[in-house]
Amino acid sequence: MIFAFYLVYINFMLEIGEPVDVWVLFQKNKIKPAVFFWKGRKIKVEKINLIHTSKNGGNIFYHFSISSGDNFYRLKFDTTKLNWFLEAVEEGV
Amino acid sequence: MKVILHIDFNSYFATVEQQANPRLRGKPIGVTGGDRMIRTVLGAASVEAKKFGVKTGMPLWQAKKLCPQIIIVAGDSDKYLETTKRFLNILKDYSPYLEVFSIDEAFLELPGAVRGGGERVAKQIKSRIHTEIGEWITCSIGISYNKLVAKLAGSLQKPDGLVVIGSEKEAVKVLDNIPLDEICGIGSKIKHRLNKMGIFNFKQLRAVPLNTLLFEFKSYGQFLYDASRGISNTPITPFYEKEEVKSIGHRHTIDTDSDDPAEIKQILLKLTELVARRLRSKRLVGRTVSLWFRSADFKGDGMQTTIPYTADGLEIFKAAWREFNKLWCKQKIRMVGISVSNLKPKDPENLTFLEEDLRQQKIIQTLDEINNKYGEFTLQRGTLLQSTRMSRKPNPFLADRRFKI
Repeated sequence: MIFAFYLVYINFMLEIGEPVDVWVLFQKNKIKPAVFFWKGRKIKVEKINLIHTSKNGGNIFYHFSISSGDNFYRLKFDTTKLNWFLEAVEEGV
Repeated sequence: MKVILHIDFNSYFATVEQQANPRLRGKPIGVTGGDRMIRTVLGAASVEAKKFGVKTGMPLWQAKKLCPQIIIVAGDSDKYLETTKRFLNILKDYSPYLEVFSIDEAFLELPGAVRGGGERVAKQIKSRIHTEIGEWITCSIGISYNKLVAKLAGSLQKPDGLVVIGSEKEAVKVLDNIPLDEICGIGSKIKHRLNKMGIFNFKQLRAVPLNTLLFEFKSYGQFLYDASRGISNTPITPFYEKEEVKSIGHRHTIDTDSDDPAEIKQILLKLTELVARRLRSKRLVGRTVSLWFRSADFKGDGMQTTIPYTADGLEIFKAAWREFNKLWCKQKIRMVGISVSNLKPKDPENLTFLEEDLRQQKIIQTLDEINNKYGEFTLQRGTLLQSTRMSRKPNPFLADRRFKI
């Protein structure tokens, strides 16, 4: 009997949850992350691809899926504590 | 004549993920039903993955076999629900007659639309989805004079299609060129029964007298008779008139098959707590508890029982556990599920003067208040402290929610 094993490759995104410093713009009555700092680098937000929210109990979080060059990042804003976190990173080739 | 639009997103969950992360665009991706990566199936496949034969509902190993380079992304229901809300907000600008059919499908009736009005609105909707939600997200729109034919029209051109079927005559022409199960309402079982009667296409179905169909399919015969002629009188059910939920349930597939009663008991208790929380948040109580499970050999069994109306997780658990033990022959279990039906509003209710009942009510109320503020399972029963992580996932058909837009 031949057994075949198939590996399932999950997305090569790095899921982290690091607090980060963010410069934001308040534009047209909306909040927009413009620049954030991670690992000593200043990363410019070139495009916000999608914004969504999530809840944990009464806490509301805003998630910004963004692009900078060819890289992908997801920032999380905690509306209760007014903190920013870098949630996910996908860089390089 | 009515003008009804059927709007259907293409490969919804996968497209939303590609919208969020441009590095996934143009690549075959599969989205899992939740954040688990084992023992799960694909909740959606991208357009690129579908070209390899990958389909929604397929186990991961099978998808990988068909498309070795497929990228698997963990599903994120918050992302999809939020996108759906934005999409529905766009639609409601055009008409209040908006029916939410599922998380990625809706019907929109345009009262008083003139000829060509439907197409103009459809093009505007597509353009607004592009600018207000995202450039990667596309939808197919079908326009017709009833829901059945609008949905059929929407399915004819994917992705990003726009198809109009303007009359019954046109509908019949289309029906004559598609298989029986292409329309909503004819599944594989009905198709099989029709095939056994020698009916393999809509032309043959139209030739069958109504009485024969009624004899064979009871009242469903009328649907088949009408559908084959492009007739349907099902009205739009606006989202604000959607029927309240009929049952609330949860199920869980265990990471490793288990015959450990303690583990199964813990999972079942956690499921019942989730069900009870949802009942209480909707201010409902239920009295029919259904329990079902699937063994390691994929054989399933289930049973239901009736208890006094409740929204207490422990009471529901006790009933479910009793039923489980009647059925369980100590075999390994793969999946277990529970639901509560026969629901009614909690209020008005008989007040109790029994101290123990009052105490229990107070405990539940306090638990809910804390968990509402700090998150699910912040405060829970001690036996659940080491239990498997579970979270509430929305039903893709949004069966348990009235959409607040």
